[in-house]
Amino acid sequence: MNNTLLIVDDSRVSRMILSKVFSSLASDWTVIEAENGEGAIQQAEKHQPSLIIMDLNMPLLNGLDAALILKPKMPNTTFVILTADIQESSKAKVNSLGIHFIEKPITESVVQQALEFWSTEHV
Amino acid sequence: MSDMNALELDALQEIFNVGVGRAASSLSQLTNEPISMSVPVIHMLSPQGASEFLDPHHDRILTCISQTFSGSFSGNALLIFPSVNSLEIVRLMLGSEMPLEQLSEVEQDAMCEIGNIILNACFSTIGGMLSEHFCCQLPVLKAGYITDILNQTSPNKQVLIVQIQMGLEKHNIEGFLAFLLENQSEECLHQAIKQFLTKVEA
Repeated sequence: MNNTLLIVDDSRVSRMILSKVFSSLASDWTVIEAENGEGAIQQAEKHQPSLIIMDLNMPLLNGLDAALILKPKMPNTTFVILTADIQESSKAKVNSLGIHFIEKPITESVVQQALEFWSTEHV
Repeated sequence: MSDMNALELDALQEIFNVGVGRAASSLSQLTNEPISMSVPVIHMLSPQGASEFLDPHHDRILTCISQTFSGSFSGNALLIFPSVNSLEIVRLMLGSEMPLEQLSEVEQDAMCEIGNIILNACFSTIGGMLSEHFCCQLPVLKAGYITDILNQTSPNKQVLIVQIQMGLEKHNIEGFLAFLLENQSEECLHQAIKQFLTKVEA
C-alpha cells in the first residue's frame, strides 16, 4: 500500500507548491490536504497518513495544537511543522514537543528535509 | 485588489506571510523576545478607511518607521507601534543596563534601525519569491495619529493594506506592518503574482 502525506495549510497556493514539489520527490505517495487543524484531525483519522506536514499559524486550530491532539493517537506518523514563523523560540517549542520543524518558503531542499525526517523514523 | 481572483489573493497573502515571518525572526533576534504573528489580512481601502481599520478609536499616538520601496511595483512599507512602547522596544534591543537618558537620546536612531532591519528582511524574502528586486530608501521615523501618518505617506490614494500583527508577548506590546501600494503599482503587482502562479502551476 502507498504511503500517504497529509498537507495542512490555510494557503491554497502553499498546498499546491508543497504537493507539486513533494510529488516530484516521492511520486509513489498519495497526497491529501486539509485547510486547518480541525480539517487535519478529520483527514488524519480517516486516512492514517505516514507523514503530516502542517503550517503553524492557521485559523480555527493551529498546526501545533492539532499535532498535539493527533500525535498520541498516531505513534507511527511523522509530524513536521512547516512555517514562516522561523524564530528560534518557535523552533525550540516545536522541537521540544517531539515535532520536526522546517522553514518556508517551500523549496525542494525543505521538502527533502521532511522526507528525511520520515525516512529516519521508519528505518 | 478587486480584480484579483481568490487564488491570486491567497498567493499574495502567503508571500507576505513568509516575508513577515523573516521580519519577526529579525525582531526576535533584536529584542531577545519571542514574537507572536497573526494570519495576514489584505484590504484595499481609501486613506480614511485605512485609518479607521488600523486605529478604530483614533486615540493613540503611534510611532511609524516607513520605508519607500521601488521595483516592478512601488509604495511604502510601514512598521507601526504605539509610541508609548517605543522606548521599551529600544531598551529590549540595547539592554536594560543603559541609562534612561542615554536610551532616549538614541531612541529615534534605534527605531529607524529596527525598521530598516525588519522591512529589509521582509523585502528580500518577497523579492526572492517573486523573482523581483526592490530598492529601499532610508527609513523615516514619524509619530502621530494614524490619519496624520497615512496622510504624510500616501495622501488621497487607495491603499493596499497587508496587515500582520506582531506582538512582544511578555511585554504586552503589539505592532503591525502595513504595505501601502501606489495606484499605478496595483497592476504591476497583479502581473508579478500571475507570473508567480504560472511557475507554481507549470
